Amino acid sequence: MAKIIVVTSGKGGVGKTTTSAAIATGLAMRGYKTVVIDFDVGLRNLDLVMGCERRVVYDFVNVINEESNIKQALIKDKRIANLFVLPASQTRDKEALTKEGVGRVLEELRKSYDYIVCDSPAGIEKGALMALYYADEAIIVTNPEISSVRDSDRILGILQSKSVRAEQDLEPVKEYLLLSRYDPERVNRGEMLSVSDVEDILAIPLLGVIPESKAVLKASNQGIPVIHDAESDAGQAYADSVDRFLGKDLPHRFLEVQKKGLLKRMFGG
Amino acid sequence: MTANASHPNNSTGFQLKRSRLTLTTLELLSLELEIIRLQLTEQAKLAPNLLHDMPVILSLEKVALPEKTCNINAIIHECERMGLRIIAIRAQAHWRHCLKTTEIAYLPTLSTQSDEPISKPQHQTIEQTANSEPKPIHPKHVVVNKPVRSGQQVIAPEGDLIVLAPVSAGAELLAKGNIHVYGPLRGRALAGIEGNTNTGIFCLQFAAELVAIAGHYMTEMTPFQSFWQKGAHIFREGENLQILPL
Ligand SMILES: Nc1ncnc2c1ncn2[C@@H]1O[C@H](COP(=O)(O)OP(=O)(O)OP(=O)(O)O)[C@@H](O)[C@H]1O
Ligand SMILES: [Mg+2]
Repeated sequence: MAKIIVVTSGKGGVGKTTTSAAIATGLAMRGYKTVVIDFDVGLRNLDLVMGCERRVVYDFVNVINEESNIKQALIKDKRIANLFVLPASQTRDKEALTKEGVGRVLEELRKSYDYIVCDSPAGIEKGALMALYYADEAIIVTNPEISSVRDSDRILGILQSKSVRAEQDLEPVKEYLLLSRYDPERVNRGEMLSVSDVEDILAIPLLGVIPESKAVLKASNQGIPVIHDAESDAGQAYADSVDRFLGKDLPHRFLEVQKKGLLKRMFGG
Repeated sequence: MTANASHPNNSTGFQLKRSRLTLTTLELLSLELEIIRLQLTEQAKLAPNLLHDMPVILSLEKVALPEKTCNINAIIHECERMGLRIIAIRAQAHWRHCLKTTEIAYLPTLSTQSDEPISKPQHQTIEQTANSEPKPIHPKHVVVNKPVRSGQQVIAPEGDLIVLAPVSAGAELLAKGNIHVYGPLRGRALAGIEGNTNTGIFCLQFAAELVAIAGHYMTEMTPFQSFWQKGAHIFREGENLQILPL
């Protein structure tokens, strides 16, 4: 029986899709059969980040409306065995995501997968509510700034009152904080909140800190999730986060300003 | 007649008024008459006066409708024998048929309500006193042990509100009595919402957006700056809010 993980934030553009792609890829790399679902109906871009946009035939909404079956809509990843993408439709509106429809698709996927990763849209409207409704665990992506932290706090309240687990008085949704686009230099200058500031406000366990990194943009332009870039800081930070998610106890990296080496300084890093 | 003096129209016999009140709910977890009877007897031993003449709502939301005969009348009878006054029965719609013979008012379930406060004060008396230890917990107080997040509101309509976790900016606490916060208080706290000026706000880490006691508000915290992030007790002194270290 699969675990359902929602990647959510409230605020837009903080790195949910980047994170969904990286975490799903990381789980599959470690041998878990994983599917990542794009809940951002109308704005799909998970397929771009996963590099499968040209292979989209059917989508999540087609499956919900029973216009295709799940097998037809799932896209198998080119690089990693065990990894599948269920893309969002670019044309339909969010009302297509009904509780019953989403529940039925997730129930079917649950039977044959280990992890189902749900990439939530921004906001607290229907799409975001549906992405978190069935979740067992939640990765809250937050940028180190007040408005993002405030929105994450709001989403945490919703997770604890409007998810199936909350409604049925089951064990609460397990929450993790993923602090993304962290720039230690700007933290030192007092322009951004520090890790401990954010931890203090949200008071949930820290899964990882992803540094602000050029590797992320490069990866999404190429359609290769950044976790494949094992040389990059962001790739390593995501790999650590996946290991922590699976229970490893690893120290957090990339929290301090990286001293540039002489060569990097001469040739630009 | 003096009673009529205040009424403009002599033919007015009553008026219908909408009112809110907090009631205890007896939430059945089983339909086994024997189990219920035993627990009620235990309960009566722990707090002999608690059940006597207590108005309650009988909730069937947590038990399944039996397929064959339904012994609900026997259960009601048992509750009434122990002193409870059942004023309404709350259940899902498919129970209605079986409840017809009870002649007690039917209430639909609450589950369709949105943004319900995280704590349910109306459940508290039973849940807490049902604990076999005879703890003297004041039934009117509300205790919250998980964070109150931005956008959430918690109310203690009858007594004190005690929060054992952080209260985020954008969250709101309301209490008829005092408010106690054992995590950081970063949101809004309104004590004495029914006008009791003798109430207070007690917190270990004061960082509130707004504090109010019996209707007197304060949003500009500069006068309290020296207490920021520290333990504080806020209270009313005449028309002003005052602060003291905890
Ligand atoms: N660690 C990072 N370093 C640098 N850029 C990043 C990082 N994480 C994300 N970005 C960039 O931020 C932008 C938004 O990222 P992404 O699409 O993952 O966010 P999102 O939360 O899914 O957005 P939306 O709310 O629109 O769905 C992208 O251009 C992405 O390349
Ligand atoms: Mg996105």
